[in-house]
Amino acid sequence: MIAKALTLEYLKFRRYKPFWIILGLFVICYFALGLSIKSFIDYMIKNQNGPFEEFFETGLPLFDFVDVWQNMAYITFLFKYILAFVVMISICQEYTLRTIRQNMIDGLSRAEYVMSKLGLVVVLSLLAGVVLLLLGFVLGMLYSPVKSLDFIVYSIGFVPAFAFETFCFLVFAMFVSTLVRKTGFAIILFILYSLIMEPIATVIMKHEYELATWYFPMRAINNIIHIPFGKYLFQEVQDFVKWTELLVAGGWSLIFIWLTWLLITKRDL
Amino acid sequence: MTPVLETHHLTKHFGRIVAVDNLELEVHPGQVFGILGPNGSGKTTTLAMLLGVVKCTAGTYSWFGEGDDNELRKRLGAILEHPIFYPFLNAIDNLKVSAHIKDAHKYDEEALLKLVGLYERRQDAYKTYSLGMKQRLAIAKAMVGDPEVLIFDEPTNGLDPQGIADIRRLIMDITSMGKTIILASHLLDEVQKVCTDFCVLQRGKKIYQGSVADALNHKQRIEVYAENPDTLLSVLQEHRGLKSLEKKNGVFTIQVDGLTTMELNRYLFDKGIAASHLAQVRTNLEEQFLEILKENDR
Repeated sequence: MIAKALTLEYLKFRRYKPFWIILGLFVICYFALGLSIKSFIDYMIKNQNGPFEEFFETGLPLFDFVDVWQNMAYITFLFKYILAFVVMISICQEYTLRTIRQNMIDGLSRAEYVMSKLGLVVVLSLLAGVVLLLLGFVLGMLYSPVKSLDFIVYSIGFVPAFAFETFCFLVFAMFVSTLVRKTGFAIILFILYSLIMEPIATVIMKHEYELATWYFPMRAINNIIHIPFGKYLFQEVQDFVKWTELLVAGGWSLIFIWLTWLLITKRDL
Repeated sequence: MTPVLETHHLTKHFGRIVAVDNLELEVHPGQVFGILGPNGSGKTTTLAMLLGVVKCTAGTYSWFGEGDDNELRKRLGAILEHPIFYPFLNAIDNLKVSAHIKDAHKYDEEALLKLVGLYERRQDAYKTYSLGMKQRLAIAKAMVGDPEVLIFDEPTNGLDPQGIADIRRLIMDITSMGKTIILASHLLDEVQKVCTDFCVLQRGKKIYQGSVADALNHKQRIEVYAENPDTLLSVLQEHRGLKSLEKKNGVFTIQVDGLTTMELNRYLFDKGIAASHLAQVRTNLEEQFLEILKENDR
């Protein structure tokens, strides 16, 4: 059933050029960003003045093994949006073209349909993991002072964590697009919620009312990989992935899959 | 013989609107079954429920006497309303998607595309097709996996006369392959030409069901004329089965259930009248249909 669902998705999109162009640009831009950080830092060091002066004195150990996985996973978090848009286009298009209806008429079960979209989500999440793995490895090999195997693999857990974070994020995108069904509206709503509505709500709750906010979906999903840069200012940061945080994010993705399933089974197509 | 399709109390409400009301249908193998009704009478909603894309508010339906599973839909080939395809895929790839869903691993796409006259354009993206070509591809898609039942919903909607003729010919060809066909249409002419059986829907209710042949024969009308109209009139009025009698330009048109022209001739002759004109008036379904709708409106 999984193989059938994946093949179906492939048959649908293999000749849809925008899909492949977006994915191609995603990979290219991902590496371009990662590789250009080094030159940016070099530039800052060369022109050091103002508040960065001391900070850049010795250069940042951004690309050192151990650190590189978490740093790159965090810096590239916005790239998840591109993959989310791919998922959203794929799902909303089934509604605007009404092909989801024709798929069901042809005999596709609702479970197979959800499975095919989940398959796309999994494949894109794996892609995110693979590009992070490649980028981290290349950067580390180029710039890390230590290159021994145990250093390389010490924090490599951030790679599957990044893939998992992407998975949860894309599952949320899948839910929003199934709910809204119109591409533009879905994408705007998704951006507004994840970048503005929830962050504002959580900030107000946390700082005005001192309420816990760990359970908010976007916060939980984006919180799997913590901000690593505090450590360069001699602050304590969480430089590992917590099981409890994985569970909260995983819980949300189960909820979003379940909600998607409800929408697909309860609504007329 | 198990019916191909049975429905019981099939009902659909959209808010306060009752789109389909307590529908009882039975379609048997080999029938070409027409669902006739004006626009908005619930034809498409009925088919959408039978195809599992719209939930029934109440009632049940069963395909092949086995239920309403999606596996059973793989034994159907259906198009609803207008053709739906992936615009960026060509004919072959679009058929592949359907075949993949239907688990139809062995199917002859070339033969199908040749049947519907799209073989030459098979490599072109669907979005470049004319409406007639889209409809024909929809029929090819419906045929993928050699289904036992084909369902067409307004297949000639919006087509030019040539396109309409092409689609009708195709449906006739498919009929001759011995498949069961369910055809929804508001075009009586279409149902009359293609179907063996039909029902009439109005505001979601079934108001008539029967075979096309019966409907056409049922109210046979005969034109008759004789030298002496007055005698003819009285003799005709004496006939026991007489349902209606009209006089137009001196020619009488009568309607008697089950009466053939030969029988009428014999009857008149026995009464001493020699008819100088005697002809059967071809009823068409259109008149029948309007009459059924009118009767139901009372």
